[in-house]
Amino acid sequence: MRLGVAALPRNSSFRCLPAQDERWEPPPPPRAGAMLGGGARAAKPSFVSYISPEEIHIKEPIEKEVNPHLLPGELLLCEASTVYKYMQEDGSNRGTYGKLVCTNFKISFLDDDSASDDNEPQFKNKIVGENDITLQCVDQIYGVYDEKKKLLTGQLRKYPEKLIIYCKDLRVFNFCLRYTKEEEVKRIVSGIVHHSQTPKLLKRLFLFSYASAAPNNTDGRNQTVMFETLEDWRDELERTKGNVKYKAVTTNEGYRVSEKLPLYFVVPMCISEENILKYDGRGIPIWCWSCHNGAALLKMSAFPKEQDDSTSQTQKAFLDGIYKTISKPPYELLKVDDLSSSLPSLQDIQTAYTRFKQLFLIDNSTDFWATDVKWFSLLESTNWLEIIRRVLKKAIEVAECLEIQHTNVVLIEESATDLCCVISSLVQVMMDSYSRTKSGFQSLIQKEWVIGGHCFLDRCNHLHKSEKEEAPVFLLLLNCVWQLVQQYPPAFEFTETYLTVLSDSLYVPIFSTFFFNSQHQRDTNKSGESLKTQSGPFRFLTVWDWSVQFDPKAQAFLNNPLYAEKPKPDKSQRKTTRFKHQRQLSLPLTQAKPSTKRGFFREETDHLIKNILGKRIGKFINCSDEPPNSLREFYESWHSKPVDYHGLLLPRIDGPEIKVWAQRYLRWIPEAQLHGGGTIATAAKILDLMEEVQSLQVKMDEERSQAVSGDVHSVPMLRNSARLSSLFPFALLQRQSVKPALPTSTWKDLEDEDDLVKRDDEFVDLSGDML
Amino acid sequence: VSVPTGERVLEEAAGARQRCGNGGGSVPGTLLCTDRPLPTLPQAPGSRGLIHAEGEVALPCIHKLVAGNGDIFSKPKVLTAASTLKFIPEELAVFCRDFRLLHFYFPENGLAPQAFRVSQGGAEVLYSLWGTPRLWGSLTPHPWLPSQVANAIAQAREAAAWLGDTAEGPDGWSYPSEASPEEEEEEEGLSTTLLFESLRDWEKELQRLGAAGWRVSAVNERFDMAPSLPQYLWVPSGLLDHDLKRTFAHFQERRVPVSAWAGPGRVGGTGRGMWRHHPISLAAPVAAPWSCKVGAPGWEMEKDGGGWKGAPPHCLVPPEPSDRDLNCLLASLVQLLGDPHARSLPGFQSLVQREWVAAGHPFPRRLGLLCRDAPREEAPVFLLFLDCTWQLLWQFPADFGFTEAFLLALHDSSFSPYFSTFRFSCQRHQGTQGGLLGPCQPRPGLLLPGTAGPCIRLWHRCYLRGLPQEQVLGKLGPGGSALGGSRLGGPSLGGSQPVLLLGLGVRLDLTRVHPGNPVSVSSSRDRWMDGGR
Repeated sequence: MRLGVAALPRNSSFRCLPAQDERWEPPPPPRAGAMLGGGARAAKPSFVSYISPEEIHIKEPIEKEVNPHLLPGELLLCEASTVYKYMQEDGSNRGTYGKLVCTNFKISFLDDDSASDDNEPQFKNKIVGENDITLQCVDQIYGVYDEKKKLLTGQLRKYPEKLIIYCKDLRVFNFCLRYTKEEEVKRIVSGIVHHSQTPKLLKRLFLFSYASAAPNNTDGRNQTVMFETLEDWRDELERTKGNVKYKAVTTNEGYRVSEKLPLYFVVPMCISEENILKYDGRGIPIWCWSCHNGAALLKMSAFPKEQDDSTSQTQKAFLDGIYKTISKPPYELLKVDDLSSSLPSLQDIQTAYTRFKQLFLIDNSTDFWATDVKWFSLLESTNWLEIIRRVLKKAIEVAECLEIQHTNVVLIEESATDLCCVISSLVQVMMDSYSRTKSGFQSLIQKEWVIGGHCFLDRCNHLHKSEKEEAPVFLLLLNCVWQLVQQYPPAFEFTETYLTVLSDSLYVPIFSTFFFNSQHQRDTNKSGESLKTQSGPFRFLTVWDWSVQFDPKAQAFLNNPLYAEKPKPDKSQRKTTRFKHQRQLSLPLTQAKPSTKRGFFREETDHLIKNILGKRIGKFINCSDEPPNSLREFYESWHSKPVDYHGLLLPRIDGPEIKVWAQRYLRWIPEAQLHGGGTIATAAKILDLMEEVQSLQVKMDEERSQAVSGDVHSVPMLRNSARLSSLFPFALLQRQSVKPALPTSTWKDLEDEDDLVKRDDEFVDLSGDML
Repeated sequence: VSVPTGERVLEEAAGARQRCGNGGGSVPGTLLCTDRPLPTLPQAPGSRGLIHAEGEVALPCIHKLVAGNGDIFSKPKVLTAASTLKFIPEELAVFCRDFRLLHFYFPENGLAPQAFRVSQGGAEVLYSLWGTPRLWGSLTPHPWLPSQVANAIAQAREAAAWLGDTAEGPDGWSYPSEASPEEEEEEEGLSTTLLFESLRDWEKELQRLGAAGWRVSAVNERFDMAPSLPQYLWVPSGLLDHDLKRTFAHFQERRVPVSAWAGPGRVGGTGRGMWRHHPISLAAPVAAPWSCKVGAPGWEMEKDGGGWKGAPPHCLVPPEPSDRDLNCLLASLVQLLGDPHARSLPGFQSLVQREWVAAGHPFPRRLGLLCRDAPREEAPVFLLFLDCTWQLLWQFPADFGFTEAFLLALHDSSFSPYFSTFRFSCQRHQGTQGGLLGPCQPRPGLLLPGTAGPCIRLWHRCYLRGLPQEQVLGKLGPGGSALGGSRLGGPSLGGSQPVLLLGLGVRLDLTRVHPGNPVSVSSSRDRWMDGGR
């Protein structure tokens, strides 16, 4: 082992790399039939074996056919052998030979050595392995021809010697095809490009083959509310006490109103069925959530811009009527916020994210350090963090209207399924502590996004139909929620790992959750096929069943051990504090005051209606006489009080507070890892301390209590390994040996190998000069 | 007005109000400009907080004084000792070097400017605001002259700077005059901060490092060989004082290469002086420790060489006219990475004492505390070091024996004239330990900091603390975000130890832990800073 340890620093941390051309050169493949043994590796001086020779010889060279692990309904489409996969991390030519396969679900690299899987990561996805890329997860594919990178799309005339696959979860795979048979190269390259980059029919999604082949018996009701039934909506109304003024309607049964609207939804009591039917649901305020003081968050899809004057006149009159009805008592004052004018456009978001993700799609270490010099200015120029900030700010604005000004807020957007979803979800996460539990958050996503009709298929461009429609709207929400999670960890039942895993699930086409544009699309496609198959309608999996992807041990990483759970017996107490809160912050609930304001509001409405005719529906109406800095005041006064983790939660949005979601974006970049550091070190320390306290408690109560929770040993991963990566648990998926922490004791071992030390000293100077 | 005994009020203005935040709120109080003799401070009954109370600022810590008439930020008038005001100031803003902004206004009487000379009697002048209504109520009203106060502050500031300069020689704080005897006799061991003012400290440290082949040389005991080098030097044991003396002349400012640190089991050191430009007789003994500077070959060289944003790589350091800036920085960073002891509180203090104070880093000049110095001499090298240390601290919160509050205190005390160096911590330890000491015993082993862009962060609790939203109670700091792992629940956790602090702003309050509520974590800089109150 000594050799391994001594040689480590050279490969890992020193940035003295082999010359460019040499770097791309993989070692020759092993002789046909023979397994890659220690000899083959040791022969190449640039290789460093971390296994002692003895260990290698134990391994018998078995002639073994490596076969991909196929899911039910998964078909092998093409394969190529002797493909060399570079290890991304160090930019050297280290790597492994194996087989590259493409199925109707994934692209997979099968390591020839994978037989000995002693390095099993503790946080493992059962569906998508370390070397698997689902077809929907492929972002871009590049071919390398004579050191030149070329984007591969559609038909190919020439076949590359190297293949670089950029994934949407920000992994980068480098494959060398130099030693692969020509026909195999042709087949695998065109296969991969065809299946992952060309337009597809919906029915060709793996979802359908999986659903028809896999007996779906995972029907264990989880706590997530799916919002597929009228009951679910009524329960939600009751939970938020919105049932006095709002009703769940069945008008859209059979999708009579619109295919974009869910089967059931909630509108103000006073809205009639005719009104809903009149413009296919446009211009109708749809209820999202009710605040504890009765103020509600609504969303509305706007009328498209009409050239025809008379049409817009009637639309205007219609809207006017609607606004009038819902601003009468018992309804609160109304604020209209047109998100298309107050937030960045979807194109802006897409552009920013495209630039942002480039910072993390790094080919190799050299590229990383080359761009690292300009990291801060590059980050700034993407504008992504600024967009996150604007979205959070908008959510605070809406929260202030609901909480302080006690007004209803209507969010308006063309289809009310993109930025409306982001803002309404964020507002609920901030204001409703139920949305910060795992099941609450999942129900929220279900309500606002999945049933709410966010076009996941188009926005993720799963079918490669049109790039114009693509926009990472859902990712934007997760990024915003992550900001809150990292600012107030004890307020959330889930961890950032949960959010990361959820974002990855966007590209795993075995769940129906993120693979339809609307409830209608899902329902029709589910039943349409049912006649042909005997098994009845498809029973799609939902992503909320985490047991499909993770075993219980891995699922533990999704739960926040520091979550400050709501103390149950204190329920009454909480109510009183809420009351207090209300008294302090909200306007009094008297009839007199609002009515005077209502008069004021009417003028504003007229003003609004004048504007509608002009260009846009409803600019933000400032219906109150508050000074414009009331928002700032709200923000600052909230921040000057201690946080109630079960109450209102406002994100800090000042520049430095908005951070890069390191776990998601940096997890595959070893250069950005801290071994034994980062927030995870703090977490480990806290858990250590808690465990110690617990065990002392146990000792004290020994004779009395025998029913001590067994939870103590469910954090062994944090406990045992002294130095975890800051990107834990993901970094474990990487080869761990890259940057070991050298304990001081090994210095002694180095003593008697003076020549080694001297050699490494040469590297010292070299690295210094390179920098 | 109750001021601590021994402190004299030079000027005061009651009826002042201090603005808080942006909200327009304000606190009434009296503005005082006092002198405060050095020796009484640590024991002073009125000393609140760690270094200074909320409304207190030491004169050298004042960066800029601005007066105005309701338009202070649009039409600021910067005050200096010489300036006379042509208008009646109603507002006074104090921009502090520790990034605070104190903003006062005088609603009742912005009064006529009147030149006011501060007697030069006190070397240290303290200016403070007593913001509590209680104190305010106890005052007897008399005509206040805010502009006098403003002038007094401006003048006293310059006076303090000059005085400090003449009293302590060209390097200001470089030579702590004499160590007080009781400190010398303090309990020995790793828990003590070595001030490196005596031969014994140097020998003790060399012993701790187990550096064979090196010895302490007293050749510079009377500062006659090199005035800016420490009294005692670590030199290769093969080198006799006689040889050493001969070589002094070859180096700029007569600073010979000396060892800074030895890695465990293997001798190492950081060359001082411009040895590369004088490959004379010393080259051989010096080159040897250089090339095997630390035990693990070159890891740290690499880190230092490439890593620290803002700090040039060691090998490429342009010949410094003096070796007392970047060498201090890199030598101490290397030791922080490699020597766990340096990551404990006493170890860190010893490190600063040895690498910065004894090594002769020109603090006042670099921090711009001496007004007459050319601004070109100003360079916050020591603050850069503190920032680097903070980067390490946030990257490895569990590896440090001190907290962010300690670094902040150190940062702010850089501008305080009370402390020649770490005396404050020795004497004030008892009261404030809870806030400064992390719970962690530094773990053995090297630290390998992330040097990539995403790993470098803004030290927002330092630089942004003037912003109201940073001064928040009960918020969880960045160190608290986490984690995977599973929930800890079950039995009630009650602890004998009420509060545990982690390196980076996380506060684990075990008294609040009960069955339904597995654990509450909160953090607050302010609360720790209040540790001593």
